[in-house]
Amino acid sequence: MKMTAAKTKRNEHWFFIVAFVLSIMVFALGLLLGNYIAMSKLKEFRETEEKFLIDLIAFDVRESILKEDVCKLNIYDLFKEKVALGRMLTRLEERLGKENRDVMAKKEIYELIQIKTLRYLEKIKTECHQDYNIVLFFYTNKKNDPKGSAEGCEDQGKILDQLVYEHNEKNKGKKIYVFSFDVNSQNLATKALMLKYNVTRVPALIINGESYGYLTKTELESLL
Amino acid sequence: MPVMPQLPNWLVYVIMFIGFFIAFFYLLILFKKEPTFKIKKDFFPEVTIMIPAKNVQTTLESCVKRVINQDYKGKITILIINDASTDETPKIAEQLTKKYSSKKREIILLHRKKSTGYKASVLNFGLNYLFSKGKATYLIAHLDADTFIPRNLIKKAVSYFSDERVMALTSWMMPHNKKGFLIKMQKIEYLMTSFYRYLLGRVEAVCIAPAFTMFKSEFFRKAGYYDEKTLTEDFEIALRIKSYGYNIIYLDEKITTVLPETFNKLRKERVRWWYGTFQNLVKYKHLMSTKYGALGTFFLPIATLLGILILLLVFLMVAYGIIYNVVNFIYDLSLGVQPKLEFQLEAFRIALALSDPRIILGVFAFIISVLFFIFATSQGKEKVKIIDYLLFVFVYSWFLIIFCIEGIIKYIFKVKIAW
Repeated sequence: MKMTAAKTKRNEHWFFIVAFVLSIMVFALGLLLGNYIAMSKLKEFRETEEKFLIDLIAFDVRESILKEDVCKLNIYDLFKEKVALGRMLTRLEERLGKENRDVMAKKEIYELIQIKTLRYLEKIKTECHQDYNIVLFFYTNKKNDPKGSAEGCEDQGKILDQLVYEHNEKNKGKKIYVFSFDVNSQNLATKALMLKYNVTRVPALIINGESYGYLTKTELESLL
Repeated sequence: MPVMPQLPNWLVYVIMFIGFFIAFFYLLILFKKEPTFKIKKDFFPEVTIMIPAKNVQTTLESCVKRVINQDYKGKITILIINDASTDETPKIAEQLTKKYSSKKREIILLHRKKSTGYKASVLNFGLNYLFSKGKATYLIAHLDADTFIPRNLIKKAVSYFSDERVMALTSWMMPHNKKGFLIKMQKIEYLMTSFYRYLLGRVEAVCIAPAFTMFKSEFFRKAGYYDEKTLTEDFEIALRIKSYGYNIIYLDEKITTVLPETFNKLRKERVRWWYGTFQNLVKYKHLMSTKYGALGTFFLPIATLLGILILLLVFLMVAYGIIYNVVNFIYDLSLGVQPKLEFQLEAFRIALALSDPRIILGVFAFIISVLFFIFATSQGKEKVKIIDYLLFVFVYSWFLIIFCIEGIIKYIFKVKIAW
């Protein structure tokens, strides 16, 4: 069948280029804006972390100068602050990735803060006859880590969180103070802790000085 | 151990990029000048309006009266094709023929004894009659019996047909029914669809001939009648017109049509549309070429095919996300971990969540969709509550995607669908 096709104006080719460029621009704007917010939050974390570290050092110095009774120190508020800092770090890990260099650098300082807080808690527990549980949790974030499964560590972390919530918030038992350490951390203090407790596999738990591997919630409850 | 793996981020970004590209393409069209056509105001050729009528006793009279009362100076022949109606339709049609037939407004009534259930076969019955009896006029239109046209429509429509590029013309469509949640949602759907068609009209890429469409009769003579094998004869004939290189005008004049008021009727209609859409996309795949301008390079391959694909992917991703969370929730319960009821509204957490580029781009996408909604309501001169628009985006749209999936599945497995 023969029909005369009328010529249509086809000057829309440039629409493709402009639409493509605009899409790239919107994407770039989205990524830049996202990055800007994330970086500003990273900065906020760093400032909080620095302030915390200064407070800890100040505690230390004050104690050595005045020889104050350690039982009078308000270590619990300090621990709460450590928990808040830990939550911020977890959010940063979720957003920027667990292997992000900045996050890892902040984590090293955080681990030092943890160890310092841990030392205080241990001292208070012994010298002031306080009754609470101190749990050290060694984990890995690396997939296919020869030291153990990252998924297993994630599960152990969730169980610990649940128990901390039940004991500390709902007052179902003795308070639990958890300190988490990445076994792949380059922090010398963390490595020293690993050596002290002979941690070679993860997840590893040190509950009130005793070493354990992965523990279910029921097993943990019987120990706390 | 997590039971299900998380979906990769890149998939979300690819989907978003395609979505932005389509949106920006349409936005660019908005700023393009409308094409100009030769419009003759003193052009009054004879027009035939075919009205397929199957059990339309409640709407037929009103529909016919709107045609009778047109301010068009030329002759209009109304061809009512009673498609084996079992209600009062034949009686009403008979009365209308007697009451309103005049020199300038002739009404012819045809009866089909047996209905095949397909609209295309009814229209072909009418076309056969017109061509075999030598009654085919210069312009022939089809009008659904539940569709109502404004008084000036025929006069305005006819004026475009003096342009040789114009082979057909259709118009902005809105719901005739007023009440009910489904109608509210369909009103927004029709408004948005009409707006996109209006934009496509600017790049001569309109390819639909719905409830009211007018044709030059020469097209039927040379390219054949309606395709009775397809479930969307309106899409098929429009693509056929485009395949011959002709243009379809999208008139910025509102016609109204009766829409399904129950969920099941809506579902059946949409599944049929999608089924027919795929039938015709396959049949006219050769139109996806630079030869056919924006229709072949943008509308069919990108806005339609890729658009459907990304909608399906979004649906699957959301469904996967829901299943993922449910499975993980059950897994956590098995560990003895219960969900915490209190929602931690930490500013730090919220800010970090908002810093996720997927969230930011999602917000941009929503802003662009609201922008289109504002343009559409302004162009269509319609008032829509923002709450209804939100319900349309976040609730109703999901059902449209589900209907689309059902249509695709039925098309792939060749499940028979009644018209």
